[in-house]
Amino acid sequence: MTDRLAALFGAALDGIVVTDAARRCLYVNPAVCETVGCGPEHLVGRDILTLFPEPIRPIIEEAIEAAFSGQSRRLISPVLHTNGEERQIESTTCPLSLDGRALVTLFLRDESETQRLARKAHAMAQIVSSMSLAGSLEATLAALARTAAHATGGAACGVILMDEELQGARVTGTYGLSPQHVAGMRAAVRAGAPPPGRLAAQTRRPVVRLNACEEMLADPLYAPVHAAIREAGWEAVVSVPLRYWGRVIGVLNMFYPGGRKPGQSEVDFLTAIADQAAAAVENARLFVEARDKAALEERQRLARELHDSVSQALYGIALGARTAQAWLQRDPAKAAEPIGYVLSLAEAGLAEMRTLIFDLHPGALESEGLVAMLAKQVEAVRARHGLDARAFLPEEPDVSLGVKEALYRIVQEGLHNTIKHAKATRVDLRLSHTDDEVSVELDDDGGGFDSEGEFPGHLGLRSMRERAEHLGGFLEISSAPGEGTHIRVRIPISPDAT
Amino acid sequence: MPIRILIADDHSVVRQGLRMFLGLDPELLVVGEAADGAEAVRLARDLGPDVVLMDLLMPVMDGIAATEAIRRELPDVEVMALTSVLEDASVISAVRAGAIGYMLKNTEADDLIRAIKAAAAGQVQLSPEAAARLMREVRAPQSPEALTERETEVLRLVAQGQANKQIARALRIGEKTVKTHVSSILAKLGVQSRTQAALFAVRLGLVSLDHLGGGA
Repeated sequence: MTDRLAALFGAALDGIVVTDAARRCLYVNPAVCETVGCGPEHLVGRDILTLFPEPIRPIIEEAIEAAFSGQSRRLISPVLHTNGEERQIESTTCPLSLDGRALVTLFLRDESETQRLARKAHAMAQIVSSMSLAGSLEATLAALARTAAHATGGAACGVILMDEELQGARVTGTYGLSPQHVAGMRAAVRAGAPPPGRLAAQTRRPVVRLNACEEMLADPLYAPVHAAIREAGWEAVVSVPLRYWGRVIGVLNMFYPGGRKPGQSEVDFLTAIADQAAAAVENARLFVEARDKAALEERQRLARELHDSVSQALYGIALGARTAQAWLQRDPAKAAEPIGYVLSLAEAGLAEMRTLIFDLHPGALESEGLVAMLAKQVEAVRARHGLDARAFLPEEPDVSLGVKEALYRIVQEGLHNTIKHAKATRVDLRLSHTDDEVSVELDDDGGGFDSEGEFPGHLGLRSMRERAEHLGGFLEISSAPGEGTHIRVRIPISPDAT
Repeated sequence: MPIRILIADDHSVVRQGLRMFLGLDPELLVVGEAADGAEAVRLARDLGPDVVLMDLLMPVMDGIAATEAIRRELPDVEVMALTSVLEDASVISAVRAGAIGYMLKNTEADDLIRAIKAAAAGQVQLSPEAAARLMREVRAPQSPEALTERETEVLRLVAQGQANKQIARALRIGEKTVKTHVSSILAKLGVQSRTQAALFAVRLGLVSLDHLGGGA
């Protein structure tokens, strides 16, 4: 009979076990041997339930009994490999009648590559979306820990970002770990215990420790965390390094409940998650850094503007008023000039404050529109610097707020350069738009510069260019020493952006 | 003869206001205005003012670099830093560059006139707090040449905030001789200004911090 079964099933890709009413294995095909890691001589005659981890044996037993009464069953469960690892498989039971004997066939199908990829893709998608949702880095790491635990069947997970020397933890995010565990582990590491996962970080490879918790319980260095480990009842710990561009930035530790032995495919999966997570974490960190830097630059710019405008105007007003006061006592006719000066400064200061207040509340661009805000800028330049500044503005262009803000900032930077460096007497601002693009032009009669070489104001120009390019546009400069400066920025209008 | 003043500030409104205000005092005469540090150096050379009122934050060449250039080239021209923010670093840099003192742009306008007159007379004017702060920063010159007894005496009076004229009277010597002594002291100590020399006098124990010329 075995020969006939071998002829039937020997070449099948799925694992096939034929068992009798006593659940003894009568036949196993080569695919089963591969799945569980031993030859037919060790399997034939054995209770089929021993192929499965203890906790799920009753379910398998019931499925086999159902098959003897004619019902087919399908279930997904882990199967044990002789090396202690577990592997997810799909088992189908069905009745088989052979030579008048009632038997049961069990088809074991390894979780297919497609299914694994689907599961992986799902977890990856979750990781990426949790990264962008979470506010702080801690929250991001905690979300990652939760997703990883859910995707693999781990009971708890800790994600640790490490410092350069891979010694201490910089930031941690955990899922399923009690506060006592986290605090205890921190105390233990402070007292000299190696942080879990350090080996993985140092060797840059996944480390599977099937009896990790037992080992920690036996080690007095981990005394502060003993109670928490005992209570949680974990056994195995898998640590995988978080690698980003060849650099280890931290480690992910997955804790498994007693009796669950993570298999190679699970470790592979965790490794893939960790690499993905490392990139996402690093991106999140860079994003936060860039956002902070942008905010800082904006604050510095505002401070510079305040220094350049309001504080100087107030000092001028104080000087002028003091002068007027003195002349009023000595020769009142002479007070007219300083009073006129004070008034013009107060007006310029007001125009200035309006622009600065806009900077603090960019909502004005939305409510008042780009055209109105550009007109105010030009007005402020005229009042403050006595330049012959003119604005040529059409009706409000139909572009996104992002484009309007970029144009507003570009003009601001450009006018700043003209005032600071150009020694101009006249500057013209022109806004125009077609169906396809919107453009601004700044034209001054100042000293100009060699746009090929180093020149003052190049930082401002760079930021103008970056803003334009960020929106798919570009910046053209024509200038030469003694010939004024003409700057034109063109930004395409995409139909879906409006 | 009025005190000849050069105003260096990149804000035209400030230059205009200062010119108007200083015009109130017949003893003061604004001889020129510079809009950046480089122009300040050029005009100081051309006009030879007694005092330069120097804004510190300016384009092209900042006030500190301009102060250094002016003091190196024209030791008779005193520079008074005029800043809108009291920032330790820039005040210390200004004094190190050779400014005789500094004023805040929010200082009472009358104090500004007093300070300009004191600067023109070569009087060191530093508040004890400012001096204490500067003491930590202004390094003692490495291996200074020994001062003569007379120079030491002059340095002590300089540190007390006395003008050349007062020193001349006290020591019964000519004002020109005092000037010569002061130049020699600055050269020997390797410093740019009377203010730095005064701080050095404190370090030598010639005067105590409390007796350092008070004022600005």
